[in-house]
Amino acid sequence: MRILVGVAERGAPELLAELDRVRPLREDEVLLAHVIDNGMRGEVELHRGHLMPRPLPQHRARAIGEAEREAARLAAEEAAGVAVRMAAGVEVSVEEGEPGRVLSRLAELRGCDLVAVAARVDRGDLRPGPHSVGHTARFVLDHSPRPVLLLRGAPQR
Amino acid sequence: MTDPRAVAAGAVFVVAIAAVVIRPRRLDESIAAALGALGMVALGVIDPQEAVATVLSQWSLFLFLAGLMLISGLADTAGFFDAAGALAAGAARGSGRVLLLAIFAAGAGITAFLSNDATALILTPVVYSVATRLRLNPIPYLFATTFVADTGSITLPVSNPVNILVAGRTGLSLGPYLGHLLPASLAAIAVNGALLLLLFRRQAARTFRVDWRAMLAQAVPDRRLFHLTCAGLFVVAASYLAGSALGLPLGAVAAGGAVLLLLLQLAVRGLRPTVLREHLSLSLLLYVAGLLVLVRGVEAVGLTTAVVGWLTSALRGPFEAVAAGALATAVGANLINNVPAVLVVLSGAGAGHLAGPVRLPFLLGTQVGADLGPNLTPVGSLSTMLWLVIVRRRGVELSTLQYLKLGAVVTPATLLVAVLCLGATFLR
Repeated sequence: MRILVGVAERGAPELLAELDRVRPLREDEVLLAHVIDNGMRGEVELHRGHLMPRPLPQHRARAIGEAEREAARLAAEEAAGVAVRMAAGVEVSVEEGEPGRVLSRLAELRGCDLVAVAARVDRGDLRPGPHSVGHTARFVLDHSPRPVLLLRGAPQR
Repeated sequence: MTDPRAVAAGAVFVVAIAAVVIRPRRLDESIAAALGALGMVALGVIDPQEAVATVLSQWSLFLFLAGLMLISGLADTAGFFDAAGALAAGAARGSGRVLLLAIFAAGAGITAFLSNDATALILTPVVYSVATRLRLNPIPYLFATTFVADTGSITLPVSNPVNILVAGRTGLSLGPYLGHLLPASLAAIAVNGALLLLLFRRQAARTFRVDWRAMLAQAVPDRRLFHLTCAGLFVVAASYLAGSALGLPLGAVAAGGAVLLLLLQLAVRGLRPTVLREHLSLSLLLYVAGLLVLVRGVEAVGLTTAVVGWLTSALRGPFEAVAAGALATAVGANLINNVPAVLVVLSGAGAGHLAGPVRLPFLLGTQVGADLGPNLTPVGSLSTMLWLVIVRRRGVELSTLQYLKLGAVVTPATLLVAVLCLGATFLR
């Protein structure tokens, strides 16, 4: 089975361990996808633009982009380091865009049989109920063309 | 019989301020304020000469705003804010919680000398970069910057443009200003920092590893320019203190500081011809000018006097006066934004019936409310609106309601300690 796993900046090892418990991955191919949410910069520009002539100077936008890519690289490396010990095959993909939308599209494009996502990135309170599913997981649940496995995990420390 | 001029002035004011807050069809705030000002003149509430005189009378405020924008922008270009972020990361020694306090402390210092807007508009993206690079949840750190931008803005007369407006009415020099407001400022900052640490103790509990020296080296593209800019900022800070102590117009001091930093950049690496356009916001100046004329309009027909007269009619002692002033502008800031709220209250307070032992406590309470009040809701000031946008994009798990919950804890607590500290200074 080919499984797309949405990897956030934090918590990838915990997410993969939980996925492996629910469905042992030793015969599966895992596609680890980290999506840099680049929409933030656009919205900041839009709002700051009312009162500031150059809302985010080029050097600032560049610094944010570098920080995001560096965090993405580290998150992907960390996830891959864990996944290779569990799965038959591991592939890593770092994308930019709106995470929920990109994950849903990737699942289709890359022919995945299952999409696994964490209910929330910062899983402080994991009790099921209102607000227990974050916006990315919610979008994937609503829009993914492939089956979705929602992982609530153990509380992060 | 109702005065038609008063009705017209009230209607123009309400419509213009509603447009500033609601921004129908994404109408620019400055355009809404300017159209309102034109409405006041067109309807004959005030004549054009009076409108121009009203704007020109606040020349120091406009110079201050322009100077501040240039100083902050040039400091940013030299890597000052990135260096502050790197130093905060180094000082934290790998602890997410200590980093929260370090960023809060850096924000308090930057706000004191470079104003709340510099912290909100320039430090916020820097803090976002630092937290992202360290793979920390950015939300607590973004909260720290947005809250300290307002909480730290009581400290000096230059920490918030609102303070300049109030200082114009109180006429306090630096010594008496600090005597009344420094205890309130320090107490509010301490309470806010403690509450942030308490509320975010879990989210900020992660540890990190960082080579802060490498981060600092990366933050400072030109060491010579950085060192000279830091020296220039030190001169600007000292000039602010000296200017406040001597009663000099702070607008002139800020403009002088901006010229100094421009000359330093010119000497080190030359200036781009677009430097003024890059850092100066004419929209902000137009916004403030529009608000000044709008408030002058309602003042001319006696509306602000009536509002403030009603607010202050039963005041007997300084504590009551401080609390009334703070409450009025704290509520007003969240309804109509803090600058128009302060302008309305100051306009009414200047009519003459507010005198004696309650005048100064009321005016300083007004400043405390306008500085701290915007933390209550995301619409209290530009800085909190910006912050919410960033957080929504990154976390989205944080709704406006959740912001309100946090604001509802932090804002009353900081307001209460600040009002008590300020009130106590009038008992000596």
